[in-house]
Amino acid sequence: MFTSLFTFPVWFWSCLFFAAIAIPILIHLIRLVRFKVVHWPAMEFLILSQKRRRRKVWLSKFLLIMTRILLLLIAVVVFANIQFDRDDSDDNTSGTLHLVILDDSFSMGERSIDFDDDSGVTSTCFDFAKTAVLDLAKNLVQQPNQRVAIVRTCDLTEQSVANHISSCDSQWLANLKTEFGEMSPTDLAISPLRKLLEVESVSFDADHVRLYVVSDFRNKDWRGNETKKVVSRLTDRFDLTRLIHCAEFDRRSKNLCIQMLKPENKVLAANVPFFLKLVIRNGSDVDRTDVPVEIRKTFGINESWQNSRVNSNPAANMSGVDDSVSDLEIRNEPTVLIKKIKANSVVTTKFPILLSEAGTHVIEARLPDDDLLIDNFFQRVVDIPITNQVLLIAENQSRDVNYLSWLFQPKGNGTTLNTGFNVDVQSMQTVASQSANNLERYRAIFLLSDDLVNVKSIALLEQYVKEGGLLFVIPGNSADPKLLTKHLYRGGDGVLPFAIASAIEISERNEGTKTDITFVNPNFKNLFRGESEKLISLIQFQRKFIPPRNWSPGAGEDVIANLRGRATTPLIVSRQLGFGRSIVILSPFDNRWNNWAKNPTFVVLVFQLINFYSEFSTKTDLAVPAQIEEESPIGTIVESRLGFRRQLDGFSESSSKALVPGEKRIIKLSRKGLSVLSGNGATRFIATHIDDNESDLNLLEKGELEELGDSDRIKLVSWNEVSIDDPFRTKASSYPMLLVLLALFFVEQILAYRLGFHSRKGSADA
Amino acid sequence: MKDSKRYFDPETIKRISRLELRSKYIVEGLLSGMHRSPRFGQSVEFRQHREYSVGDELRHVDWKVWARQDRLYVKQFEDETNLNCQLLVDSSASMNYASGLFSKFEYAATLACCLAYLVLRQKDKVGCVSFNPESSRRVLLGNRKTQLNEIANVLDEVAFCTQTAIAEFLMEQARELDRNGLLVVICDVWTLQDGLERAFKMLRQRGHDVILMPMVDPDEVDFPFKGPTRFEGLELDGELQINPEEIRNEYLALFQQRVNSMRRVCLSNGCDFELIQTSQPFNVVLSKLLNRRLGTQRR
Repeated sequence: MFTSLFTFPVWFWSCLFFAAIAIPILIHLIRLVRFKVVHWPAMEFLILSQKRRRRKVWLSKFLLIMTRILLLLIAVVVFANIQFDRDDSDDNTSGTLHLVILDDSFSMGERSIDFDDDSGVTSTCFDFAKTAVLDLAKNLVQQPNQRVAIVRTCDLTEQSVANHISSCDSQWLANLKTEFGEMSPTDLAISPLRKLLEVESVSFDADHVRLYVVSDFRNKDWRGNETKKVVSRLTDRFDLTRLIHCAEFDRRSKNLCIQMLKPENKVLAANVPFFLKLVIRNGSDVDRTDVPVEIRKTFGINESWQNSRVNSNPAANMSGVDDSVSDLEIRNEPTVLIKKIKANSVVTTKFPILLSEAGTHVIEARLPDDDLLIDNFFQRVVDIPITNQVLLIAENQSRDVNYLSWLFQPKGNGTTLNTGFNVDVQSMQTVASQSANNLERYRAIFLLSDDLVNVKSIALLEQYVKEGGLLFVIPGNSADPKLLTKHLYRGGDGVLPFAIASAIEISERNEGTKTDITFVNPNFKNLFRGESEKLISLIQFQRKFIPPRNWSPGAGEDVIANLRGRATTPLIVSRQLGFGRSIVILSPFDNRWNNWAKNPTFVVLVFQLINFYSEFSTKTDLAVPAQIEEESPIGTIVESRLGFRRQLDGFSESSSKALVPGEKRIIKLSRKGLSVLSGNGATRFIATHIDDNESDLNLLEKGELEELGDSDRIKLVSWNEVSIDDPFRTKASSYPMLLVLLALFFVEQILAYRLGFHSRKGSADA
Repeated sequence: MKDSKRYFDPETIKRISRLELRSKYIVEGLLSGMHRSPRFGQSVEFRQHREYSVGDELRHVDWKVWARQDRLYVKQFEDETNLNCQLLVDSSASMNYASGLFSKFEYAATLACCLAYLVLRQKDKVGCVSFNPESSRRVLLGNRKTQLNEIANVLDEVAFCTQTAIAEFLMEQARELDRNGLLVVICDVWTLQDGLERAFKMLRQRGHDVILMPMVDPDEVDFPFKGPTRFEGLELDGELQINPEEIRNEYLALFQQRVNSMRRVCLSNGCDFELIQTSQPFNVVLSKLLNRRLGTQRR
């Protein structure tokens, strides 16, 4: 029996518990049995005294016994509490499991200048987190029968929490140190809630489980009630919860984040200036002024390189990329200066850029270093397709054909520049000899011919538009309005939105009128503003075709620009026909009609029209962790080292498998930066971005966290205060108990004094 | 004074078993300590001055006053009478309680003998009664040479009995005593008090001078008992098992109330009251008593 007392602590503490109750009563009874005899002269006085004091004495005795029982009970509880705490840490029989939820989202990369080491390297919150976990691990190794599961919040391997459990020994500690030496925060923005819920769903085979949440406790992750509720539930379930904070609560972080860098419109052609939209977010509560943003083109694939080296030999592909990197000519673009970004706000700006050649371009924006580095650069893949086919329909090599051909494929220094457009020129008759499918490969078709009697050709063009094509109708110098109306309007069924009434002369504009052309479509209204408005003002029209007077745009019809005249009349009109659209420009490229063809705004407008109305898709806008679904497998994925600093190690295991032709394949990218997918004769650049919500470095109020855990079971501690001995619990639980113990001791003493003997000098002096 | 202290060492006194010797020992020690004449107490006590009137004896004229004030004043003196001292010693069972060297009765008997010896030394008469309801023994008033021995014998051979009704005894004494005198009543503090005031009044009316000397043991004053104790009555049958600490305060209050009540009754009837603790040295008690008596006479 006595052996079992010490074998089973519950028995032992139960015995102590009952002993605490029984001892005062037994002492009381023994004292009643053992007495001395006194022969006393004045019994009636004693009896009278005893009668008078009987109730008070009984009450005092009762209180005294109860106080002594309580005193012993609390002493047992306090002792048991301390003992059980010790048992928790060095339990030889059942073992303790320590669950460490380690936040490795990229906000943990916040640098703290207050903790520079001797080598000048700035420590990050993640470094503090690693230190805290290592401190914990070192303590655990010294205790017997301890197990640990270190679970990273951004772990994408889908492994169960139970698979992370390891026994604490010196080998494990050595491995952990090695692992931590190479470990850095991920580029992911995954809240600890995900892993906390996972932990909640698992049942652990351990008598004692302790939970440690090592995080920076950002407002965005912890403000919600759900996370707090989960922590609360886990605290109820486990023995102990420690919230280990690695960010400084009283520090005002400075962090700017590039939220977005992308072309304002879809870019279709080289040599066409376009705007890049830049969105910068201030993820801290400090205003920032005069922020320079460095914009540069870090990479561009020229056609010859891509054709000759990437596509020719997949094996040489890797080295080809590497060589290209060294040969890259980095062009420094003008730096964008942002005057002021208020705390916790977003600033949007745009700036013009021009890419001279078609192909894939990588443009990078970079902010000055601040507390969080990862969100300071942003890469954008700007893809200018190199195979945009454009068809010019004309009867012969007219001036218009020559002009448009030069427009799409300009020549400089004796060579043709790669704008990405290939121009075909065909007559109406040739078109008539083709099938409708052949026309589908053209991004846009320009109808310049006046030969409109070829009904089959016109029917094919209408079919092309109805199936989603874009047809420009630009009547020639000698076009007959009646023929145009007859064959292209066809009573409202053709590609023209109205019957062309006639061609009219336009008088010279007076001084009060700035431009002949007025853009009315909101999508193009701001295309020529500022400096480029001067170019528009140079355009002068002498003649143009006009619609009927009573014409107004119907459903699917849209006036893009108007032309000055006695009455303002449409100049560029578009019409929805089926899934496609036709655009009619009511003034030919002839100097007898206008001088617009010589003006650079024309080419810009044409490309923007193609850009806007032509279907075009891109897959370059991806966030970490992005899943890229490839309809057709293109081979292996290689790491791009082009302006990309870290190893691309986030691919899932399946991505490295040999591809089976026809297999649909999903690749997961978990690193920010630029990746190259290449193989099977195709290459694609993919830029992955971070979730900019993680750039919000505002912390949850310390008070809120303390409210989260205000008991001895859950506590907020700093990263440098972590200890397995856990003084917090012992202190927290023992202090009130010890105070109660002390108070009871005083009460006991008072009661005992009241019932006990104490001489009063002179009390009975006569 | 140093030499005189040896007379009052309680153990030494205790070793003197015969009461008359013990009392002589104490009294002689006391008197030698006082440096007073052994003729202490003999007559010619000056009382007051009175203006001379015709017929007064010239030998009583205070010539010193006449020399200073040129007026004739006659000195008057206390009238010298024989003192009849009756010692009444309570011999109830409760007097048998002792926590120290002397029980209350032993102390009372010693004290009574000392007083008897003092009175006899003044050639006055002294008598003694050890009283209890069952067997009272008496030594009649006298100043014979054997008087002290007789008193000591009576007190030595006393038989203790149950509780004493002191009032009845005092009233009986008042009726029996035909000569005025000094009544020294040495009794237990717990003795019954019913009718005590009436008895004192009667004694005072009959011209008796009364000194009440209740005896208490230090235990009765302090009640120093600790731990579970069974108290068995010396006079009454019965017992009480209690923790003395629990009722100590109440008991001490009752005790104080008792003593105060006795003192009030005595003083209100012109009697002297002297509470005697058995732990007090005899010389202190006797000195105090004699000094008080002198003060009383001067009043």
